[in-house]
Amino acid sequence: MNNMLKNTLKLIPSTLGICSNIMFQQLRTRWVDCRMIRDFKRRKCVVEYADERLRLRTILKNKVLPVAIREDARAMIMELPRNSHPYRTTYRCALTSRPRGNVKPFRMSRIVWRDLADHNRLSGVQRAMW
Amino acid sequence: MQSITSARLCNQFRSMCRFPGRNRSQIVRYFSDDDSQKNKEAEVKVKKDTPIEEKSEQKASAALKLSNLLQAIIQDDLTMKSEKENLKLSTAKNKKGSFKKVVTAAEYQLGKEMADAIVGVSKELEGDKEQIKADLIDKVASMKAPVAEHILEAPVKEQDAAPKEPVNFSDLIGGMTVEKIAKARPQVKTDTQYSRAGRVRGNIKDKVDDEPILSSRRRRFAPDEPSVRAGLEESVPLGIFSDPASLRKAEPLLPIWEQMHQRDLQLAVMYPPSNIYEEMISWTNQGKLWKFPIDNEQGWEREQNVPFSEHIFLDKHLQDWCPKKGPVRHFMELVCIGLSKNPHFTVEEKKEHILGYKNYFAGKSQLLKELGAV
Repeated sequence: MNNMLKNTLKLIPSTLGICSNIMFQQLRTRWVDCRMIRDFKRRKCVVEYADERLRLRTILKNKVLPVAIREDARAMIMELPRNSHPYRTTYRCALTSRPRGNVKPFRMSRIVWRDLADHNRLSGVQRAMW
Repeated sequence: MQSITSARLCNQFRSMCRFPGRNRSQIVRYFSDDDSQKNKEAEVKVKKDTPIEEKSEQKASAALKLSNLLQAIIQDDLTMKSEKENLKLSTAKNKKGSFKKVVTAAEYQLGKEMADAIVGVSKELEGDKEQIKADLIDKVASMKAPVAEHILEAPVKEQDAAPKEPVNFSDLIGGMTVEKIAKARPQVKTDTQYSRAGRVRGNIKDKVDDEPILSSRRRRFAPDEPSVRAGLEESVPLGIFSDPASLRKAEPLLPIWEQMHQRDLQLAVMYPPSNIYEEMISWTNQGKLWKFPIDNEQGWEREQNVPFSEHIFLDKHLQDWCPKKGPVRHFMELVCIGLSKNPHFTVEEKKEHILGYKNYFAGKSQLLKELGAV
């Protein structure tokens, strides 16, 4: 069916201004949308600065070291890029990029999770009955 | 025009039948008995009285050679024709319902000699004689008349004392019948044949190979015999590759393709498990099941050979640089205690953390001195 449509579209000349490359099948790449890509970039940044951040945080939050050093550490940690903050990341659904209503261990939105669970695609997941 | 004998006519008709594409001039030439006309192409007039004698000699020799060559070609041609005439070549059999032309009255104006020739040719050649006669008459008639006119207008020779026979060739055409063009009558179709299923069946019949599958498959997959039998070691090598052994180590252009190919090879040898025991064995090998005796660290390949003491006793990393007393030492000892209790870091990562602190404090040494912490 799709092939037929594609073949008929090929006959339309491009001079008419009609795009003959219309996708009739779902485009499936690694990223569902731009928000997902942005989230991925933030996560990469977080990983890059994670060690530095950890050390500075420990210096910041302890009560043993003098205050001046702690202040200095605080200034340094503020200079780090914004995307290195881990709380800028969102736990999106891996299949639909839904920001809310996600089942964390499965990294999926509740809707997709339910769909897969009903079709027996999730290991160890069963309909609750008691 | 010169006289034409019936025998010659026979020969010429035969050649004409074989090569229907001959043009009129060629046919006229073949009809003629004049040898000079035939060898006209062969004659090359040599130039005389040239200024330079050597040039003229060369040209003469060249011309002679050319003439000899052309004569040889013509001789060959003639001999080939004579040989061909002796051969008994098979003719195409008339198919059912072949078109048979109605011989018109105009074509009767050919003359007795022509008619005799036609009869002679049809007798000698194999195949449907009536058809041959009709073809020949058609051919001669299509040449339009110079022959026919000449024959008709020629002065009566001693041989042909009697007046010419009338137009009708009863003996020539007596055997012929004018057959109607066989029309392909449409077959009466039943309801099933008209239906879509019937049409599909018809299409399938046309396309499907009726031979048994096995033999066709064998034919398809059997390797063809090489047309040229070449030995691998016979000819001299080209010498394009200086080190052929290194080529095998080259990385594949399509790495995933290679991986899939390797996987295919493995799967070709492997068979699915025949019972549950084999299945569980395969799972164990894959790492999905616990191995006996149970090892809590099954699957942890990162730090197999590292002893636990390296994880716990981290004070040795503080020996070089850390001061013995003060808030810095206090802080670093806390760090070491925390790291020793952390099972998730590797030893290298813990070392790197401690080094990181060392670098940080080294950078803040002036500030620490001011504060009096060092």
